[in-house]
Amino acid sequence: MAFFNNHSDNLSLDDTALVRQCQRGNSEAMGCLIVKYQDRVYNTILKICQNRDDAAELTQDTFVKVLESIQTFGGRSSFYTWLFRVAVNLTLNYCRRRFKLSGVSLDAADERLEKDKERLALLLADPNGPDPAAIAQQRELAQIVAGLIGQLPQDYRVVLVLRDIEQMSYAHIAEVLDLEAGTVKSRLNRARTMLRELVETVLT
Amino acid sequence: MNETPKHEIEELLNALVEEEPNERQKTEFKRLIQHDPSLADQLASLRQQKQLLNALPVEAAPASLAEDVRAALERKMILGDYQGTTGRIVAAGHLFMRRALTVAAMLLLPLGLLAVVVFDVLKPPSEQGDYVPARKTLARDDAGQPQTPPMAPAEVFPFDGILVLKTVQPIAVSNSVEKMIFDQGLINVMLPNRTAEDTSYQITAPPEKIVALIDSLETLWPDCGEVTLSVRGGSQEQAIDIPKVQPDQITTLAQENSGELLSRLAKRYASANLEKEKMFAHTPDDPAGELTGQGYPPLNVPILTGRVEPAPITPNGPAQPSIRLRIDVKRTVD
Repeated sequence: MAFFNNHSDNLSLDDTALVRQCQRGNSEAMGCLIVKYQDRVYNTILKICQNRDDAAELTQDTFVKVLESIQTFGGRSSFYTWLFRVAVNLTLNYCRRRFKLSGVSLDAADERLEKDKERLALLLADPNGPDPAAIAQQRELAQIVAGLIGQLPQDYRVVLVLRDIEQMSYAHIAEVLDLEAGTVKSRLNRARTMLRELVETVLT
Repeated sequence: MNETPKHEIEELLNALVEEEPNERQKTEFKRLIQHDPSLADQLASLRQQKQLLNALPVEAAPASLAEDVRAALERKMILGDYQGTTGRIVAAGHLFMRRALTVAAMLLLPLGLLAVVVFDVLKPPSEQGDYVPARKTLARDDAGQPQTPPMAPAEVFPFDGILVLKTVQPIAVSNSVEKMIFDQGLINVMLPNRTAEDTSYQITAPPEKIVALIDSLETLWPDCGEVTLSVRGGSQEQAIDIPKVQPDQITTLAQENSGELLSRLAKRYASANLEKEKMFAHTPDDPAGELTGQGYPPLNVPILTGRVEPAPITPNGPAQPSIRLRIDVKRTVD
């Protein structure tokens, strides 16, 4: 299979055309779909599972699962939604198994991390503080944020990641998670409040 | 503040964060903020938090991801675990090729090992010298013609000859030869080959046995019109034909243990016999044939042999290597 050659022509195609070509056995189109979505899928999985190696493996598993069953894709939902449903389900199943096996939550508690948390909380608490985008570009602080997301309960974490990081619409989130839109909205509200409270606890 | 108001406040704040509040929510927030000014800070904090999450840097997926996916898909195809139709033909080809190669390896490996074992068993040991098929020696030539291939190693089997007895009484002579062979106890090492006109006796025996046989066959010489010995020994490639060969010449040659000397001696006998045939066939000086018992002068034995008389036969002595002699009895027209 020549996955990595001459993507440029196919990248301009929409998902429907690429999926159709994949279903005809065009391996180049498969490569295009991977290149198009690999970073978004990887980041979403990484924010949920909080481990780079696991995220890489789960991303690979996601694309393998999607491409090997692409013949069964009927187009009732968008390819993007289908892809993320597979990715999230794989990740959630993996996280449940891992939690059962290890029983550890993700909590870095060394002194430096605590100082970074405190700094982040102060920045977020100041309405006249620096631009959040500038904060996010500071690697240590970005890692703290990601770590705090990891402390959220899994169901809330997923909704927060899909909405505030992946910027998925409520309808898509509901489709990906197979939930009612109202449930998605209430979980998101709760997740945001919990994250803000986590930051505030650092200050107290 | 009870749970319901808190839940409603939470929902209201998030609606404001999403920037989709309706007029009723806006009015409600204004009313609430008058009673609890901290709600404004909460809203600001939530908006900052949302912006922060939106702005988190996107980490690149591993560079080898697409390649890993391709490898994983190929692996699934090869293992027959791929459910899709895409690449199914390729997968089937892969699978068939791998299975065919596996079967071929399973068949060829034991065959190869068996071939090595068989070759090891059948090949002649190198210490015994070069292998020369027995049928290519002079004595085993069925056609009775001297053969050019090398004979057995000269140092071990220097004598290899064909004695041709041409007679008008082939049956009588053959019977006598057979009787002599039987009397010498060589019947077990003799291979007769009879045709309508000729009879061949192939004998492989120690030199002393051959000498004794030749001595006993001496009585047949008068019955044979022509007696010829073709002999070859040592590294000499061409057979030497000795016409009118005499029994004592054969016994001398049979006991020679040097192939080179055997060849020289055979040549001397051949030339001497031709000479004496010319010299004494019609000589007026010896009409009674008194010079020799058979009308021939004593043969001048080559000094290279170092002996005048044939070595005595020692039947009970140490075992000697075998030599080969074929006796052909052929019919001649009188």
